[in-house]
Amino acid sequence: MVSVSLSGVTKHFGGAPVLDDVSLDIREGEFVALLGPSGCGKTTLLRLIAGLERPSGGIIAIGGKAMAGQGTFIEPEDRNLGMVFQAYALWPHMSVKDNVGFGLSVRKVSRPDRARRIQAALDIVGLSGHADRRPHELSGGQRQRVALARCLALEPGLILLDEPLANLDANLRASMQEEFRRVHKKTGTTFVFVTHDQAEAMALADRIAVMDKGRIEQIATPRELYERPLTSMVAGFVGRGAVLPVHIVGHADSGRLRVDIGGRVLEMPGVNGTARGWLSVRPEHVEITQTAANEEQLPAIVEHVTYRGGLYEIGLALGADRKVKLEAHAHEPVSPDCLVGIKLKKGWVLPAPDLH
Amino acid sequence: MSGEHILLAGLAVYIGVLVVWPLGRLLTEALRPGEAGQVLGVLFDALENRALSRALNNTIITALGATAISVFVGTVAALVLRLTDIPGRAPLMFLMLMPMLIPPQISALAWIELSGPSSPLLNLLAIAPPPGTTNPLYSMGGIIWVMGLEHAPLVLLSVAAGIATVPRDLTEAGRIVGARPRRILLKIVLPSLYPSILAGAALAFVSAIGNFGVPALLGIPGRVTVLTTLIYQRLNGFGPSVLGQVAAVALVLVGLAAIGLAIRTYASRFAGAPLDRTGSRLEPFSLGRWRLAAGSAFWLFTLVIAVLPLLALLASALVPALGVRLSPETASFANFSNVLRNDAIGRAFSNSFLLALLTASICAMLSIPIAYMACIRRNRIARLLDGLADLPYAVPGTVVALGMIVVFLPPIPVLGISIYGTFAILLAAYLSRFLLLALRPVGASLASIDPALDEAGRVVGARTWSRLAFIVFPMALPSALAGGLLIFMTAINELTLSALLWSTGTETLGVMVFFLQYEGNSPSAAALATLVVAFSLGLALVADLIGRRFAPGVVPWQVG
Repeated sequence: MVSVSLSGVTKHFGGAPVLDDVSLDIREGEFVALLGPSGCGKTTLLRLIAGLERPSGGIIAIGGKAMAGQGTFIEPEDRNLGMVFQAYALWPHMSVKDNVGFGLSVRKVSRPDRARRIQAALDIVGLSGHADRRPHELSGGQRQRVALARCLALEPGLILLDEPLANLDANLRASMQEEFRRVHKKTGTTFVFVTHDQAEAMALADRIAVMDKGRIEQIATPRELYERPLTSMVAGFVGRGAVLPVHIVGHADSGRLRVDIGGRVLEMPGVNGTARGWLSVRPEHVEITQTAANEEQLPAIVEHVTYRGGLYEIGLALGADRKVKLEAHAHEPVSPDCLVGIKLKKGWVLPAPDLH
Repeated sequence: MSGEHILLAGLAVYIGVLVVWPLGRLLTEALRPGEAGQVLGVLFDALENRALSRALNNTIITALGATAISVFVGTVAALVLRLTDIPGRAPLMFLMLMPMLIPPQISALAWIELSGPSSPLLNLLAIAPPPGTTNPLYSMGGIIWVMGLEHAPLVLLSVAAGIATVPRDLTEAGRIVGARPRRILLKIVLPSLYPSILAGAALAFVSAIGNFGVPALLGIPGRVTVLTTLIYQRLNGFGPSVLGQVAAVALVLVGLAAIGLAIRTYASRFAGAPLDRTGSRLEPFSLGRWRLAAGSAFWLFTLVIAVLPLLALLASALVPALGVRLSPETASFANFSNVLRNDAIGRAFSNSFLLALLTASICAMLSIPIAYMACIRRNRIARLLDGLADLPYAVPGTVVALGMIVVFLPPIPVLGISIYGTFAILLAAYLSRFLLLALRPVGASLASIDPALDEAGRVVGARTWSRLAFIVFPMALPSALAGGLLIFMTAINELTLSALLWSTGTETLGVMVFFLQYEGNSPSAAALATLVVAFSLGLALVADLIGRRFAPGVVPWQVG
């Protein structure tokens, strides 16, 4: 298990930068997810760590050794890491055993040693009975296990996974998640995992780096990301959250902030930075009442109601111009277009340098 | 230096020596100042030459005429074979594509045997031209007819590929709005095929411009000189001293080919555009009660253009002596045994076999690293090399042969020996010209695989050579094999390059057929040609089996 350290890494393919001044420190044995919408640069970041792309600027170090930057570049052949590809990338003309053993044979590992390590790697992923099969004879989940075994056989300190679950159906995805977690625990190897699926990232990772437009927006534990997002992008991207524009009007005694939203003043926890702020609100923290009767409640208009099995997802708009949208969960339906009152049970205030 | 750099450097030297140097030197030769030092003097001198302007004229007329025939025959055949339900479409497709297996000089010879005053078949029917008259095919019209049929498969393949991309929804939409089949064909299907027809026509035109075999066998006795035969006759008559002059002629030839290729590039942009492949293919229209009549007519036409000339060739080979009427009693295998006893022909067999084998295996092997570097690693230098490999196949073969003479006539630097007149110059020319035939299928197959297969190899620590040997090579092998077979089939019958580069001891099969006929020994020429055709058809059978088994889409008659 090794650490990974990136500082000031940029990458552009000719035109606009795909990665812009990215710095990231991954600790030994950590399981880190790179999460973000498609095109945010997360796969490029992974490929830079692997050495499959060269950074345009910045420094990349693995296990304390410089891999790229400042005039050095170590080819992927020499980085001694493992990688699991989205479409498995198993060599179709080789058996499972040969796929797993290829890296060992190019490293001139002796034959008995090789056989032992292939066996050990296949044991870990539970495929010892399939050593002589060809990749096309395996199911998607089995192929992904072979790809993982191919990494494990080399006993690398770092395994990179590029959307490894994207090609699997929902049931398989859950069992492969379990598999990755188990293997990570058993081997203690550092895992860096790329995904666009936040549920997957939350379920697996020790820490998640949320990326957008070539930058890292926030790196934190799943819980911290969910409860205390740093930017409006993270607040909106994680957990179907809404961000409502507010004025920060002062401090409450409890250490909370007093924020003004549409003329009503609420007390919420958060970070005080600017006069304007964003109030991050999750659907499950929005309570709907029939009328906007008291001080704590905001008037809102119901825009749409969708039954999601067990609960109703209710789209709401605030204000006269209906510009601010948020979502709520309710156990009983409400009729569209009617005026309701909403109560925000929880929220998180973050600075809004982008609001004036 | 890493393995990858060494590999790239080696490939660059290979392409440099075999492609860039000969063609580049030929170009500078043609653009040299004249004797008095005037700019482009050699080129202008050549252009003022009356023989050249006549040959240029003849080239354009025969190429345009032949293209018209190719387009008509190829388009009609594609429409009939792909869009109707006439009986026996698979064997008809094979017969229509047979000219691709039979080299031009042998097609020309077969037509000569079919149509001349001594034609055994016409004499059998007593409709041969009177003895003593010249063969009607020794004329501009003859060249147009034989070249037109020879290149019709190019149009056929292009249009058939175009039809394959017309989705069924298009015609079904037509039927829903109430259009009848004839209207659908003329108003919906045909217009969407125009780019494919144009692309095929341009290819047929380029092939006609560069064709040497047909005008050599029909035009030289008929005194119709085209550019390729002009170069051949000049060089044969005056030797390498006229190299500058013929280089200028070659440049004109390249110019004509470039026009054709530009049209083809333009048309290809619209042809076979990646339409929705998920939709089902067009279903053949039912001909109803016309099915049998139309079928018989098309079968008859196909047999006349594809099979009858070959029967004439066989019949001529069986005639015991010139002028003797062929009958079951007079038929003899004497010509075959003469041919097989002839020393020069024996040498030609082994030379052609060796040349074809070496060219096929070297090109197939080298195409794998070039295609790997160009298509998977997307290396810029490799992509340039990949593009350069197009050149010797795009320009007429005569031009490649001239380039080889220009660079290899003087002693090779450092080594101090000249390979002119040896087996090596033939091999160099073949390697240069035919590399593309393996590079394209191999490139296509490597471009379709996930680059992650190679990256996975890098990540587990395999270096360039290991990845080439253990990952790329096994995946590219089927298409390299198919490409190599295609090269073997083409090279074994090669005439255009050989005609300019052979000398005593390095005869090839193509040259021998040409010379036997040229010397007036047409029974022997027919016998040798028959053997070559039989051999080619046998090879086609092997290619067919390999293609079906390993590399679908590489063997041309299996398209669709």
